[in-house]
Amino acid sequence: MTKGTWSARHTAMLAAALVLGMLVSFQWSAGAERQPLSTDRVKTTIDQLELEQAELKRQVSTLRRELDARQQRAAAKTDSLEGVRSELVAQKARAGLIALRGQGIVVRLDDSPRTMSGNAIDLLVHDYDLRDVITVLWLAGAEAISVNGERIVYSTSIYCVGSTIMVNDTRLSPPYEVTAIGDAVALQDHMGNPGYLSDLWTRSERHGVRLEVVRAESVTVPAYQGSVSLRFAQPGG
Amino acid sequence: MRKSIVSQISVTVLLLAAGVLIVAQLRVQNRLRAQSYNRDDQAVLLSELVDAERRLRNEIGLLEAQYVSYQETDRGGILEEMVDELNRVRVLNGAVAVSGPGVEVLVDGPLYAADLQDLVNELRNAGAEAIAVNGQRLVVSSVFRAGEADAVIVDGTTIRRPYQLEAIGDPDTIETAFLRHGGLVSVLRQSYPNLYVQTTQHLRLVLGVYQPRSGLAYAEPVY
Repeated sequence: MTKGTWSARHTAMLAAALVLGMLVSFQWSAGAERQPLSTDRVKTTIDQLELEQAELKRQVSTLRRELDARQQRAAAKTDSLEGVRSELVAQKARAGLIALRGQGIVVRLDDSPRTMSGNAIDLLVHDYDLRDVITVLWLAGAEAISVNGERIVYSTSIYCVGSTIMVNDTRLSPPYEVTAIGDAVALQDHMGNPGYLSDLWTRSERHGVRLEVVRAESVTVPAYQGSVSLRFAQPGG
Repeated sequence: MRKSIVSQISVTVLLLAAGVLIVAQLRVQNRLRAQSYNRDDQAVLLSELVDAERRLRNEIGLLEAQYVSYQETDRGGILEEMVDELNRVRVLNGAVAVSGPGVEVLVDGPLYAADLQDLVNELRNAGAEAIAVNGQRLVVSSVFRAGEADAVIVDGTTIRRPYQLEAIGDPDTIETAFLRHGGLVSVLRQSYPNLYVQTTQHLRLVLGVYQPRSGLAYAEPVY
C-alpha cells in the first residue's frame, strides 16, 4: 500500500462497500443469532486492519524517536539550540510524546471469573471503569498514565464497541493495567479512598471483579503512538 | 478532512449499534466477553479502524516530511523547525491560546461533577481538538470534582451553572456526534428533565491558556 496520501474518498468507498456487503450478508443470516465468525470475511478484514494499525503505530514511534535523536545531536553541537531543545522535551513529556519513567502505581482490573448467569454488567470491567480510575489518578497528581500500553493524551477516547474497550482507537482486551507515575503513596491513597470508585469496589467485593493496586519504585509509561496533528486549532488568539 | 460520507455512515451505524449494544449486554451469560461480534459492532469497529488508519498515515507523512527537512537544513533552519514543533506541542498542552472553528454548548441544570466530566469526554470523542469550560482551558489531566453547594471544581477553580463548553474542531462533526440520539445528551435529559442544552456553531472560538501548577517532579524521560 502506498504511504502518505490516503484520500477521504478511499475511506468513504471502503467503508460504504464494507457496510453494504455486511448489510446484504446480515439479511441472509438474519435468523441465526450467534454464528461462528472465524471464517468470516468481515472479521478477516478487521484482523487485517488491526495488524496494519500496529505496524503504522510502530512507524510513528520510530519516526518520532529518530526526530528526537536528530534534535539531540543538533543541540549537542550548538549551545543556542540546547535551551529550545530542553523546553521541547519538557513539553513533549507533558503531551505524552515521550516515554517516561518514575515511581508510581499499577492498577490491575479484570473481569470476574465467576460464570453465574444474569447481570453480566456487574461482572465485566467497563469503559467507564477505566475512565473513572484515570480520573482518580489525575486527581491524585499523576504525571503520566497509560492503559495496556496506550498513553493517555489530550485526545484520548475511551469507549466500548460491543463489549470491547477501545483506547486511542485501539482494541484492548482484559486484563487491564493502568500505570501511573507520580507520588506513589498519594496515588495509592486516592485509589484506596472509599469515596472514590465505590461502584467498582462494590462489584469487586460482591461479584469478583478483579481490582488490585500495587505500588512500584519504577514504572514506565510508553509514548503515545497516534496522531497529534491539529487541523482546526491554531495557536494564538 | 473527514468527508461527510464516512461520518454519515458512522453515525447511522452508531445508532444501530446503540440499540443492539443494550440487548447484547443483557444476553451475555456464561461467555462473559464474547470473542465474536454481532454485525453492527463489526460495522462500528471497521469504521473506526479505517478512520484511524487514515489519521496514522497522515501523521507518518508529516513526520517523514519533518525528518527530510531536518536532514537538509542548516543550523538556523533547525532552530526554526524546533521552535515550530515547540509551538505545536505547546498548543496540545494548553500552554498557548488557540483559535479555530468549533461548537459552543450551553448547559444549564443541577449537574454533578461526573456529568461535566462525561460532557467533556463526549466532546473529545466527537473530535474536539481543544476544550474550555466557563473560560477554563482544559488539558488531559483536567478533572471535575464536587465543590461547595452546587459548585464544581476543575483544576482548582470553582465554577457554577450555567455551564459554557467551547470545543474547537470540525463544527458539523462535533455537533452531530454530540447531539446524536442515544448519546450522552439523551441520557442526561432523562436524569434531568428540565435540562437546558443549546449548541451553536462558530467560525472562530478563542480559548485561553492553561496554567500548570508545577513541572514534572517524578517522571523522567526514557531514552
